[in-house]
Amino acid sequence: MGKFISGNYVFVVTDTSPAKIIRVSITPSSYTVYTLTGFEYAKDLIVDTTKNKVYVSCNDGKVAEVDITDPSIQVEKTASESVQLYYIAADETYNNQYITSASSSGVVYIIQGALAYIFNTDLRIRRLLENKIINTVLNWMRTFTIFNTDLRTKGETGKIINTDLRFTLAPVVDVTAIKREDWIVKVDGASLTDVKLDSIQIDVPVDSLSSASFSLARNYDKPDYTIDGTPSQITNKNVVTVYIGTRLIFTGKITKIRSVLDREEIEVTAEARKNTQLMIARTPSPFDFGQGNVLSIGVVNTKTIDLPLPILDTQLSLYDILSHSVSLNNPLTLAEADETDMGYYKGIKVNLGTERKEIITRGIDYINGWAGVDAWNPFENFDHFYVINATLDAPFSTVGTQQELINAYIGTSLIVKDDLWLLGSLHGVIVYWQRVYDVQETDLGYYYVGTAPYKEISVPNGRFISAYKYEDKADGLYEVKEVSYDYEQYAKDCAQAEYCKLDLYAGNSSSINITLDAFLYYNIQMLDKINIVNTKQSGIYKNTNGFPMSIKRITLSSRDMIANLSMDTTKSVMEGWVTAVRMIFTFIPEAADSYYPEETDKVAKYEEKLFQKIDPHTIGDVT
Amino acid sequence: MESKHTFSLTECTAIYKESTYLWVAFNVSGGICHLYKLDAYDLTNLFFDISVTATKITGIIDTGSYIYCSLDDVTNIGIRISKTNPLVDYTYIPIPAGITEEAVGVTYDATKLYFLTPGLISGTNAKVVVFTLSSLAYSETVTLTSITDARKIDRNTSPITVLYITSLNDPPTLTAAYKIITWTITSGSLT
Repeated sequence: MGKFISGNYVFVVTDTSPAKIIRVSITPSSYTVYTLTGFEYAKDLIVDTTKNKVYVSCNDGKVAEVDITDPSIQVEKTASESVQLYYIAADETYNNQYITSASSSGVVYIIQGALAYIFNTDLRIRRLLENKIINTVLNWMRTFTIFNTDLRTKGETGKIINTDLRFTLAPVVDVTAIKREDWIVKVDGASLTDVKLDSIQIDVPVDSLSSASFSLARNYDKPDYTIDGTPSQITNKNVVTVYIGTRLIFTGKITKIRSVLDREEIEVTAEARKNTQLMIARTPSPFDFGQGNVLSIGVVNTKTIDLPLPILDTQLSLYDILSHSVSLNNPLTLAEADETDMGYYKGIKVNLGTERKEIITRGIDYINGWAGVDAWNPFENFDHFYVINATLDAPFSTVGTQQELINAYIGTSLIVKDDLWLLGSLHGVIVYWQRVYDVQETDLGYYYVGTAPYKEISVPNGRFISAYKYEDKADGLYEVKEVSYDYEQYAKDCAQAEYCKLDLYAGNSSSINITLDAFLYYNIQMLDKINIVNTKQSGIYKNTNGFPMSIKRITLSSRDMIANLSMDTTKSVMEGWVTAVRMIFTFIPEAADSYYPEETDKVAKYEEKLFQKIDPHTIGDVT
Repeated sequence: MESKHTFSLTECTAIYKESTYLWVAFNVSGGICHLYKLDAYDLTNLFFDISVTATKITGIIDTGSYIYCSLDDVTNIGIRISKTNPLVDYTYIPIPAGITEEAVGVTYDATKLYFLTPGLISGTNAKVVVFTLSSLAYSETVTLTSITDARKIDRNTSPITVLYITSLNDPPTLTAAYKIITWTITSGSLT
């Protein structure tokens, strides 16, 4: 079935015992019969012109690899079972052979020859052991990677070598750990040469001053000079910068020096109001509030970092956690403790107060002439406000002649004809009427944030919805609307702000020691949030139990060459302030120490004079 | 390293490696065979399962765009199957008049397709049945005089096409056949 011609040769195999292979030369015409020693009952063959081989399928699970140039060179290959092999195909690229069996089941055997070309192994056992087997399964067919393995065992205690070989395309880079010599301390920009390299310590708490301390090998009574007399001032609040390699870690000013006679050294402490190198990055700085800056939303740039514990039975990585402790606090809730106040809350509630709403019905009617006045019947339970239009006769006019009286407000009682003897004629009366109902009150209930137990806060609350209405005043008819307010959203904002300050995992804390390499590698900064991964109980310190915890203190030590991270679940002053700012979108610089939402403004009272009041007897304005 | 892959179908009757694929034919009772197109480096990865109406698929070759199979069947001598769209693009090649045996092998050159019949029936010699490669039109039949029990066919194409046929005689016989104007056939025992 398969290809059996290779250039000038044609190959034929025999189904005999032993099997034979016959190489026929086409030009000149000749042939040679070769016995396939150790093989019998050849069924099929395939020519591999790439390897210059002929593969012959035989009995007993054998495949004869026959050299085309010299068919007497034969190599035995075996399938995984001792069966009569039948049809054969060849993968010339990877030197694999695929062979079917004569069985009734659909079986394909694969003989992979590629390994011989690319795999170098050096397996050594230095001591003869009984029944010891090194099982090695190396199986990849489509890679060109060369893999060198040197596995050695020295003793008899390990009976099985389990090998898990993996490889990555990325190159493996040697890592050199940070050394003490990588610490650089500068004063006023000049590197100090007399720093005791195991004395440097950087301490950065989140809400107070940062400090750097180190010792100098100087005469205790000559602090501004090195031991060889070179000037190096440290007594004038000089600027100290500390680097690890090229990474700036601290900038501050010298605030303390302590001379130690018996050791002839000087201990120096520098402090900084803040340590911008290890604080979270913001734009602009959160400490600029005194200058009137207004923060933008989302300026906080903390990050969450998963710090790994070492994997069991593996070599410690520079970037693994060296040591750590975790303290979890799981206080009882009110219900669990059967107490009234445990001082532990997981949520905030606020009474939203009462909504009070004015209900007023208003309208206008018209009365034509005296006949209309005679027929007018006021509405029961309504207030009425009368405005007249009339013509005054000349004798009573204030101007000596007939006078038009237009939209004159005469009060809440309608005139009668006898009272209006001064009028020449009454054109009409405009009647403004209204009814004021009882104020409608609705309880707004409570607003909750988080989960029980709730801490209740008390803030201005409630809502008053006033309505437009007429009001009779001494000098006229007015339209007024009382002061209104709505504190519902304000109360909710306050609850949110209190919730932001709430420590949901009160007392949870953790302390982690990592190498300085890891500290710089992860670019750890203040308030970054840390998870601990690779825990034996999967996920126990990741996104649960208060994790990720926020870094509140960073301590770097050249003595131990480690970075200590102190973390807890509380919010720093800065963090709480920024959170509140982000929530309410605005920030008032003058109120930097109080990050409550601004109280909602009331809507001022509205009042407008509609008509001037007159005395109907004197036809004069009433004031 | 050796490995074994067992399929759910019965008896492999032909196998062919093409590019990164492995084509495996299975003999299934009921007159339907199955031809699998597999990932040659992961035989669990089946690309196509092609049903072929025949008693058995006896040979597979690859001409570029198509796979050609010789068939043990009373109706068709072979089938042409698209390598990339085999479930839709396939053409059966009917047994021409005068051919009484099934095909046991197949080969091709630039213009022709050659099926080999074995000469197993008493009084019948092995034959090469020739078709035009592009149209699959029947071209001619070449009788391999005195050759019986032929099993395999292969060819050299330079300078002209020469077909080589081996038989299962004891000793085996190798036959060469080529055509300039008419067919020339030579054979001999390989003792």
